[in-house]
Amino acid sequence: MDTKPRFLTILDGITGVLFVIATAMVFFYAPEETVMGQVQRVFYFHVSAGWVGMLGFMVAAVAGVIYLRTGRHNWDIVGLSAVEIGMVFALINIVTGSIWARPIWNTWWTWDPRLTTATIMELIYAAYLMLRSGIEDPDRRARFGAVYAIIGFLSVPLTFFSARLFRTIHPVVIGTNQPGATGAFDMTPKMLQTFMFSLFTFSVLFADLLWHRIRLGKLSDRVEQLKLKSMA
Amino acid sequence: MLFMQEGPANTVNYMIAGYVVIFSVILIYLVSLAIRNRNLKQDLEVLEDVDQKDQ
Repeated sequence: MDTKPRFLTILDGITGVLFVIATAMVFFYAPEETVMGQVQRVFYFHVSAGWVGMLGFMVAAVAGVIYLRTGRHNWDIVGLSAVEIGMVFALINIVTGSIWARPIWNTWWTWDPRLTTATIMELIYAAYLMLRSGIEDPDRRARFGAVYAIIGFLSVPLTFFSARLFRTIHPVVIGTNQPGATGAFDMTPKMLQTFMFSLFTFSVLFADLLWHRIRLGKLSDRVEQLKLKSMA
Repeated sequence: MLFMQEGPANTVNYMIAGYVVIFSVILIYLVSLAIRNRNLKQDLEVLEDVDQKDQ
């Protein structure tokens, strides 16, 4: 087994430090929002988690395209890894949104366009994992996975733009809020700095996790090959 | 109702719940990566032993 690259160990450390700083900024640097109170602090990691979710699905689609062009199995591992991480963070995004919505919208859940499209996006990628687990042949699994990741990516821009194109109560950070949006707020400079730092931290966390997950995927492949060899 | 009151709403419990979810899910994922890594390394050791004996 390959030893852990030194830069990955350094990246682990950097990610840990960034995460601690981002958390400290959320709780001690960013001011309390004047209407929503403390629950507004969920926003920083809620949006960052949503960003990482969408980033993961985008990486999977790009990996899918490259796999179909080159046929190199490593890109299948990248795609699977990115989807898995994307799903974890999209789940965080959905659940924390629901927790924020309870005091702000007076409900845990509503079938608003943004919430609905985000849930459909998550379910599409859950089906991706189910599809893969049902295919034995590694080449066929990789090919189907690549095509699915590319088509499934259509759900990402749909989710992103849903709060801008449709009538929704979900506020947006970039762009103009719909007239019925509830829970929007004006960001102070400290809030904006905390938000940008959180986005950056989660992006680095994504890179770190992706690297670890790809290494795990390669290890899994090696085990699978040895199993097939021992059975032959 | 929230927007009719004076001063920030008392929503600290929801904030705590939100961050408990965030930290817990990330931690569970990290643990799952570590467990899968450990199990695969154990499998690899066994399979490599079998492979060497076969040769």
